[in-house]
Amino acid sequence: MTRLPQTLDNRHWVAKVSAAILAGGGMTFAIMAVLGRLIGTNGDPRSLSAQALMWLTAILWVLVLGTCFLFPTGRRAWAVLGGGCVVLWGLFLLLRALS
Amino acid sequence: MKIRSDILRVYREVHSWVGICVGLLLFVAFFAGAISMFEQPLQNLTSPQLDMPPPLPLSRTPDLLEKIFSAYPQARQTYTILLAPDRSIPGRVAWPVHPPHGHDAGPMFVATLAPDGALVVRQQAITPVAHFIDMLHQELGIPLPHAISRPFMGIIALLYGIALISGMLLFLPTLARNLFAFRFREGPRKLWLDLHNLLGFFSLPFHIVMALTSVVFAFHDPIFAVQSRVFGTSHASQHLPTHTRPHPITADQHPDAPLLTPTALVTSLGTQAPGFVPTTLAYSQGHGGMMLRVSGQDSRYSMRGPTAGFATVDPRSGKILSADYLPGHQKTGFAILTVFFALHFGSFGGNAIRWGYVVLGLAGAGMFYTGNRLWIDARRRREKAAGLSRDSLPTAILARLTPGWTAGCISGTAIILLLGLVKPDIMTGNAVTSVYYAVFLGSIAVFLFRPQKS
Repeated sequence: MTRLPQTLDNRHWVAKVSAAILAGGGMTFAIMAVLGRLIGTNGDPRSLSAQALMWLTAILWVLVLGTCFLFPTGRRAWAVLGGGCVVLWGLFLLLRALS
Repeated sequence: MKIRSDILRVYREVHSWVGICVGLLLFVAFFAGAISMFEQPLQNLTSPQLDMPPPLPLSRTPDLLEKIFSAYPQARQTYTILLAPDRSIPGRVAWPVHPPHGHDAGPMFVATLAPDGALVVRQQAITPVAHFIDMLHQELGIPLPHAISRPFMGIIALLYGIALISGMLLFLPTLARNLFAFRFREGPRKLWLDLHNLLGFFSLPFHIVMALTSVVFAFHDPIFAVQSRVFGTSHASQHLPTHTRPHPITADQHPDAPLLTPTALVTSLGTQAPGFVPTTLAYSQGHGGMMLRVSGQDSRYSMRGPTAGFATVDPRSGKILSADYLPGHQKTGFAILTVFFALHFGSFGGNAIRWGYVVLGLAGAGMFYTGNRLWIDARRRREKAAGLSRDSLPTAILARLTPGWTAGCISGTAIILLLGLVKPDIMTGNAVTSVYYAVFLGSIAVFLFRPQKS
C-alpha cells in the first residue's frame, strides 16, 4: 500500500481557524482597501462602491474560513494568510503614498 | 467527480462538528424566520382593536395635521402619514410617543378625526407577539443583551457558511449516485442522510444567500467603520461620486414654501414612479430642513426592506431626490445589491414568493433537525462498536436535547400566537417572553428528564 505524500488531517484546526479569522480577516480587509483605493471610493456607507466592497469582504471572509482546512499545517496557514495580509496592506500603503 | 479521500475525511469532521454547534440555533432562526414572512398580517391578527372612528379620507389630512400640531407640538419633529391604515395603526397619522432613537420607533400615538371634527388620539396597542418571533429569528432564540446578540449571530452565520462549504464538498462526489436516493428500508440512518442531502442540495442557493446576508447583517457596521478609517482621508474626498452627496439639498432651497398635501404628493409620485404603490409618508425634521421618506411596494421588482422599497422625496415639490432604494428605478449596481436583501427577506414577487419562503424556511429547519439526528446516530453506532452497552452522557444529552429544543421552539411559538389571537390584551412584552421561554425550557426539561425506555 502506498501512502499519499501528504495526508490532510484536522490536528491543527485551532491554528488553521484562527489564521483564517485573524490573518484571513486582515487579508480580506486589505483586498477591500486595495480595491477601494483603485476605484477611488470614499467609504461613505450610502455609496454603491462602499456597499459593494462591504459585501465582497464578507463573501471573501466566508470563503477563506471554509477553505482554511485545506492548508497542510497550521503554520502554513498562518504563513500564507498572514503573508498575504502583510503584502496586501503594504500594497495599499504604497498606493496611498503614490496618489 | 473525485476528491481525495483525506480531504473528504477532514471536511466530514468539520461538517459534523460545526453542524452540531450551530444546528439547533439555526433551527430556531429558520423556523421563526419562516413565520416572520407574514409578520405584518400576524401583528394585525394579534393586536387588540383600537376604539377609533374609521380613518378620514386622505384629502382631509392637512386638517388633521393642523389639529395634531396645536395639541402635540412635538409631533412636528417626526410624523408619518399612513396611506393604508390597518388594524395595528388604524389612524391616518402616527407619531412616536417618545423621541425616537435608532431604528426602533417604540410606541406610537395614532390620530384621526371624529365625524364632528374633533381630534381623536390613541396610543397604539400592538401585542408584541409577531415582533417577538422576529426577534427570535434575528437572535437565534437566545436572549442575549443587544450589544452581544448581533456579533453572536454573525459568528453563527460564519460557522453556517463553513458548514455549507464543507457539506457541498462532501456531497459532490456522490451527487450523481445519491441525489434522488431515498432509502427508507435500510434503517433510519440512511433515511436521515438522504433527507438531509435532498433538502440541502435543492435549497442550496437559498442557504448560500441566507449565510452571506446574515454575515453582512451582523458585521456591516464594523466593515464600514474600517472603510471610513481607510478611505476617509482628505485627499480621497475629491473622488466623491455625485450620487453620494447628502440628499436634502433641494429641500432646503425654499424653507418657507408650504409642504405639498399628501394627495398632491401621491399624485406626483404616481407620475414619477408608475407602478410603485406608496404606503407610508415619513416626515422628519433633519439638519437640512424637513425630510420625507416614502415607503411602498412594487411586486414587479426586488425591494430593499422586508416589506417595502424606499424613496427620498422633496416634501415641498414632490420630486424624487433619491431613487437608490426605489424598486424599478435603481441604478444597476444598487439593484444588484438590493437583490441580495430581497432574496433574504423574500420581498419580491408578492405573496406567492412569501409562501414559497415559508416552505423553504421550514425545509431549512428540517434540514438542521436531520443533521442533528445523523450526528446522534453516527455517535451511537461508534459507541456500540466500541462495546458500550448504553449511550455515553454527551450522546444521551444531545439525543434528548434535539427533540426537546425543536418541540419547545415550535410549541412555544404556537402558544404565544394562540394567546395573542385569543387574549391580545394580556400579552405584554414580558408576558410573551415568559410564556415562550417557559414552554421552551419546559419542553427541554421534559425530554431531558423523562425516564429512559428500557
